[in-house]
Amino acid sequence: MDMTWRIFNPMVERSQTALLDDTYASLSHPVRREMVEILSEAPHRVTEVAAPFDISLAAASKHIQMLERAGLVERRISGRDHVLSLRAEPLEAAADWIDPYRRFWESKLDRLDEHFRRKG
Amino acid sequence: MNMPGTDIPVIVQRVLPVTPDQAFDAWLEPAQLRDWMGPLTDVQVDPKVGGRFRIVMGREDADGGPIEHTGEYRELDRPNRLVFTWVSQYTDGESVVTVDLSPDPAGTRLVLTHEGLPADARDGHAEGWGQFLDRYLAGAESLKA
Repeated sequence: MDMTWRIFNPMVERSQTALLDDTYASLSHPVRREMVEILSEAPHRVTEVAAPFDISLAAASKHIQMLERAGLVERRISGRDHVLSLRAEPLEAAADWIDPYRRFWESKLDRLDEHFRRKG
Repeated sequence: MNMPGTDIPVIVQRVLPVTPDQAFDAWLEPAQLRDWMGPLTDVQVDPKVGGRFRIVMGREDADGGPIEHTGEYRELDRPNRLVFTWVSQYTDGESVVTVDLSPDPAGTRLVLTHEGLPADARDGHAEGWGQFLDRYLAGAESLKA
């Protein structure tokens, strides 16, 4: 899996760790998890994503903005419709990071690389 | 091969600033293993096909003692490939690690594939996050198609 993806938000290139922080923070709220679940089925309008919740549109918008900030959700504006869709890459990075075996080998191979650079 | 683990291997890649021979030897020489896999409290290797290794990693956290890793060399094709079994308290019996080495303009490309790992430990560590992400990844993948 390609772990070199980056997003620009705006003008500032954010580190992988900061993106993971954003991913987990944005998935730490039940409303946002349900929004992600809705968008995992198909792209939806902002109003459709907000509709199932007993919260104001303004509150729903804040949740959506947090998902956008984490790069989990992308907004396309077509006329008066704001259409949201899910981006897979941050979820894939989060799933990779969470695998303890991957973390084990990533850290060992980092050290192998350092080992050769010290010797070199 | 019939293994009790999952079908999903861990695949990790690196480009290393050495020749394939040097990258190969770092997996089999105890002095080098101590330097990059360590801190090790014990390292024993018998680097031939059918030979066994024992690598004991120290652990700084309080919740347990050293972690023993043992296994058997299945394939040693210098400088292209190493295959060995890998058993620890975190594997469900025997898992298999393959290290493929190929020349790269910057040195050597290493591709490590670890297969036959138990699914429960991978999700359990993350207290359900793994399963949560799997569900949404499945959704996100279907949107790409």
